Amino acid sequence: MKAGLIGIIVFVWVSMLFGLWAIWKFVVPLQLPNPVLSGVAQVSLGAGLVALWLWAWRKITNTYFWQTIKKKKQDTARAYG
Amino acid sequence: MGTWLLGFAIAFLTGLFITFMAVPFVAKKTGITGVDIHKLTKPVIPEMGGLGIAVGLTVAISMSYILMPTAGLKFAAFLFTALIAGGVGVIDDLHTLGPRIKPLLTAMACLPILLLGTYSSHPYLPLIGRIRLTIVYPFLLPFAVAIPANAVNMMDVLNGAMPATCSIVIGTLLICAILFNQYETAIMCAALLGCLLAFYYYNRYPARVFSGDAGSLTVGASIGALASIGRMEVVAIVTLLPFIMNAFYGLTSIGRLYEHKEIVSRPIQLLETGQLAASTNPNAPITLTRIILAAGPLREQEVVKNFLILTMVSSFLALVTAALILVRVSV
Repeated sequence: MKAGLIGIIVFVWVSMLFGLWAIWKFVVPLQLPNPVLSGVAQVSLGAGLVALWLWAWRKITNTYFWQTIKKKKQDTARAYG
Repeated sequence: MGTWLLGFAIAFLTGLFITFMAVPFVAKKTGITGVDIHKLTKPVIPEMGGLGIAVGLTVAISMSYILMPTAGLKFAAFLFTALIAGGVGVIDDLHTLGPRIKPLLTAMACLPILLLGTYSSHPYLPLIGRIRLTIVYPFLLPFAVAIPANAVNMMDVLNGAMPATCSIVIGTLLICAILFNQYETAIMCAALLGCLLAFYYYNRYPARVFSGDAGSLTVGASIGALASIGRMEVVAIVTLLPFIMNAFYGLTSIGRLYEHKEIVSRPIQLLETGQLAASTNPNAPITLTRIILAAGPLREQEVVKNFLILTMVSSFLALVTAALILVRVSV
């Protein structure tokens, strides 16, 4: 358990730092001809990155959880012949 | 420096002593009880013992104010935020609030910070430095209090889990506050740490007292307040990662805000051996406890030990985050 969950925590931390840096470096300075359009693009891109981060986090956890359950069932079945 | 050290010592020892004395008293006086569903004997345990934390915190912060009146505004903002959230918890313990009303009311606990102006709209970000969020920051404050308050509340499911993990979180914030030269915040951390260690004595396995929402919301909102007042927002998010993960998995697997009592398919089961096992029902919410138990049944204390390991890892990452902030900003 520990290694898998610790791996998820480290992934979430690294991706959060990288995401913050990417938003600050590329999204915030984004300038379009119209200032309103610039604002909309910045918020949309930032929100999109956050949504992607949350989706990846959820996907990894769900996959890890159900694979662990499946492996446990297989181990139990093997142990009892 | 001597005054600060004296402040830490007084805040910590007062919180420790007063909470230690107050918990059995308030648990007995309130008369509210709950069943410990993770034991085969199903013992009935006094709930709302967490009110003792609020009592201990009030006395400890008042003592700190006498010693350092210049930090009065910050102390007041912190204490009233904690007490408002604790009040919401008391109402929830007595008459269950709805799953939407509770986060909304806990968000209101940020009002003292907002009204007393004890936040900075220039938070520190790792690798980036100080950023300006003059307009946005006040709108983020309700989330800064409501999210940790409810995340801590959702983690308070096993004996000793809440005070033990939160003590590690507060200890980390205390170290970071000292690194950031936020000594008033460090004193508030010391007071809360004292309260939590005293409460752990009663709440550890086998629990003699439950904290109730009164305790867990007080502690969670206090962590949010410390993060905002001490300019440690990102550090607090990182150290709270196991709590946030637990809340996030629960919310996304159910698809909405929910109350424990609403859940038909329980995420964990109690076996005849007294061990806890993960439910294999696809409709049950995926909580951190269930993920830990996916690899096989464990005793309650072993699950709490896993919580502690995860919190220690996230606290280490929080310290690295603080270091990444310090290389960009000279605080």
